[in-house]
Amino acid sequence: MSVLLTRAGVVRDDPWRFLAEDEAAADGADVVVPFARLRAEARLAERAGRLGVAIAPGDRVEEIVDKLPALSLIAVAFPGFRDGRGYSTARLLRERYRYAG
Amino acid sequence: MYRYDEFDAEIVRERIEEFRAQVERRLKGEITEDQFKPLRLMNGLYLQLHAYMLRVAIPYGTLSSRQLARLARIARDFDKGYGHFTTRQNIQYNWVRLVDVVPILEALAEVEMHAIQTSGNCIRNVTADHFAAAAADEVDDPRVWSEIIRQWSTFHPEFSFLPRKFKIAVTAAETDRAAVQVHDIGLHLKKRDGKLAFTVYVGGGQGRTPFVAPAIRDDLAPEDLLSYLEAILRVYNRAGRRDNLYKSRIKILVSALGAEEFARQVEEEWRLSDRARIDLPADEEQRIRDYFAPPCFRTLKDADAGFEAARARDAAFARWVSTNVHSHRTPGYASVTISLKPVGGIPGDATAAQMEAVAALGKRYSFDEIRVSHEQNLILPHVEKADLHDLWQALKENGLATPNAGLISDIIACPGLDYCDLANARSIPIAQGISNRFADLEQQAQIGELKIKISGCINACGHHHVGHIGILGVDKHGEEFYQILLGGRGDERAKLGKITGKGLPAEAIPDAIARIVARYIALRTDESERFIDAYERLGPKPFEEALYAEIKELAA
Repeated sequence: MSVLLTRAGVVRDDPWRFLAEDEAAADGADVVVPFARLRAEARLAERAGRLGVAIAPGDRVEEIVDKLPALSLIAVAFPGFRDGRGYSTARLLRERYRYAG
Repeated sequence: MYRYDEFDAEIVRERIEEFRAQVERRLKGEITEDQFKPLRLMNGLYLQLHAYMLRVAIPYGTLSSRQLARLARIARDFDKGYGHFTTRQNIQYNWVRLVDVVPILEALAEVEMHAIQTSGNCIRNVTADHFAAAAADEVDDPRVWSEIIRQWSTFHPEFSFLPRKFKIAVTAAETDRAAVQVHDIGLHLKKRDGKLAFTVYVGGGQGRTPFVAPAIRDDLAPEDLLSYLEAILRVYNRAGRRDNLYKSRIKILVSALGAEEFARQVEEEWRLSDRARIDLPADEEQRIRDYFAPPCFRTLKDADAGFEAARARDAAFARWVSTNVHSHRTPGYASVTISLKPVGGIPGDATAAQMEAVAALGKRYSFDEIRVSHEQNLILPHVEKADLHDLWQALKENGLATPNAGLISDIIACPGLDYCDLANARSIPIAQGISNRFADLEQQAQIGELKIKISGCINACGHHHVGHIGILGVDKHGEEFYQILLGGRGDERAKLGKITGKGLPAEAIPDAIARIVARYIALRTDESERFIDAYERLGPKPFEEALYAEIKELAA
């Protein structure tokens, strides 16, 4: 069970739902989709509810630059603490692509 | 010399407090050794065969007398009375007790030293030419750039969990004494059309898959250095392999992509990067440069009558001068190699008393400055020629005047199976065996420059790939054998040694080396043709024949 932490502390009612590859995005819900789905499904941003993406260490953030304005959340995954690829992803998002969400 | 600012001092202090709590939990048994491992490795603490080993960073190998004296005290109070200087210009304590580690770190912090980033998959301690700011063939002080890199890479938020460890070496002299082409990144600062420019080598290294690094740039403006390094590191951090420990160094990525494609990716990354945000402003570069202002040399004539007279009078002194004293850019001064390779000794080891002696001599004769060379010796960079004879006598009293710098007994050796958890075979006794075989210093001088480098396993910490003669220890069915390599070199014309035939047992090595040397003496044009020159002129064949001659006889 993952816990959502913000600068303000633990968020008790985490509204975000991480969707699997084949799980439908319910209208109105706040969902985080896998990286590949964000790229493949053109209409995700059109539904009601906020949209987020989960970025795995090997995913190249350059490929979703055009979708960044539609994203309310980007979850950079660190499956193991020794895998530091997510730090490069995060820095590119903030500094190069000016993602401010 | 660089001095900590309050920010440096504060982060070192905070790190010690954090580690103190972690050590306490380990001592109380609240965490297992496995859980403790990643924590201690963030602080340079390894667990070796017999004990914990603490590796202390010596940035670009530069020490003040006070720092070296402190290293001596730590050796006396917390180790068995000695320390081991490494090929990365660091010092290792091989016999520390866990309960002493925090007190050691506190003692180090008092003299602006620490053990951070001496292990783990981060950017390690930056190494540089040990004759920095003294060598005549230098275009700039490489330590300025090394210090800039040190500050940039310390606790770098993006590059602290790379696919694998990362080593950067810097030289700014024509002769490369820092072996930059066998590092993950080697920086060679040169004058190009009247301006300073870095040649950037990427993807060199030794280990099980050795490479001499290709140069991906030969005209990098110094002010662009940090953004360019970031581009290289980012490409590596994202694309370097993480699935296989043995294929995770940047050399594997560079070799898989090809140097050209790798360079293209770096240039593309660099083009997109926000350079103004990363690169050091000129005033900040100047601020760091000011720390490395040259000492107040006296205005002297280059020749010193007293020195020349002592040299003429005292043959032993003259011999030491011919090998261990190096020309200095300032008239009347010289640089001195203090050999940590006494005949039959352990390469790179120094006792607490020896370190204290060198600290005092450095203060008295060398503007309070001492260097550690990657060849595991100590250096006094700025000595007046008039003081050399007194200095030599003081060194002699401390067993530190072996006249063998660059000679056959000036051997690089890794700790090997005597200490190291990774080793397959012992290195130190092999070095001692060769050193004893060539104990006659007169004979060594006649042989001339010959660099022997010994590793106790394929990881090549003893640099065997770039030894004029390299020796690699392997384990064959529980027995130690030694593979001999010929013709490697780690200088500006870096080349990997060629592996000869089958390995030899330890006891056969000194004679095997002696046969190679005898063949060289027989074939050299004259004394000015060094072993490596003769090898490059003649190829491996005559030397391999000599190496295996006796073995063939035995078989026949």
